[in-house]
Amino acid sequence: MGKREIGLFPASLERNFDALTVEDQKVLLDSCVLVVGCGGLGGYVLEILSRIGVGQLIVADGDKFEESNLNRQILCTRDTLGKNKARVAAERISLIAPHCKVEPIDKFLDKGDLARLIPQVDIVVDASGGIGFKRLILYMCRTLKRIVVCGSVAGFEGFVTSVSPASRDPSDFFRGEEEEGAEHILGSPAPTVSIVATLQTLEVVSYLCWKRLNLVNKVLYISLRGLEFELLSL
Amino acid sequence: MLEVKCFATLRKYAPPEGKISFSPGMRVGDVLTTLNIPEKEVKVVFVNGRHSPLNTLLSDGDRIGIFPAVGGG
Repeated sequence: MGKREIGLFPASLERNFDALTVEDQKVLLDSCVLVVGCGGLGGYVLEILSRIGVGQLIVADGDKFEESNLNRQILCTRDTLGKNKARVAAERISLIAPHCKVEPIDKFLDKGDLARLIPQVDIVVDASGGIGFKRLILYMCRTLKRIVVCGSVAGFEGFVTSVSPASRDPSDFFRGEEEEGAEHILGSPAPTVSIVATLQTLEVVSYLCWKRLNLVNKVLYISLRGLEFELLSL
Repeated sequence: MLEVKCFATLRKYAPPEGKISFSPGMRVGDVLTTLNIPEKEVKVVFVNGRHSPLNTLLSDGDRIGIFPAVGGG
């Protein structure tokens, strides 16, 4: 690839080439992604999407950082305790990728918010916690015909799946009362959260650059204690 | 034999060596009964890697994965 072409991009993106082509990089810079949740999954998702050169991010979270987030949430430091997660995310992205336009939304999204935001973006990342809200995101993305890449974690296990408007979805994993989510018992350690988030970003990049999703109608379920990855069919 | 894996909070119900004996006519629901897994705790079952309902008829040698709700972020 010619150095002249690469020189058109921010210098911080130089080492994306030739893993990405000039066309891929242009597409990413022209893309807008909604990331719902800026905690465990969302923090790593945003770290990667901003560093790979996504041009526009809408980041939403109504929560504030607290000490119990320090085990896994990359945006949580002693300095950010008590601060809103979406605002902290926007600050960090501005320090990594000033070319990235970030819209922080410092509230828990409701149905009306999702109805307004989802049509504005190319793809949605579900980085939220809690099975009830995950069901709502799936429903709204299907209704508004946007692809959503879902990530979920419980202990040293978790999964990633991509849902298109016409595909099957993982909603059975989100059935039941809020407290039934296995994460309430098994917690959310950093290795699982960071790997699931990384896999989510790969689906986003693959969709944006190559119009290909690897995990539609499939669940990639990971059990990190035995380093087992299982590809399951929905 | 049936190969049974129980995931996340259901791991405690996993059979020794991950296997239970098969008898003709067994369905997924019978596996839950054999292992004393409360049906309410089971949200998703995969048979040979395919999402399958509790009334799925099993065959000898089938691999069964049993999952609870997983929603952490």
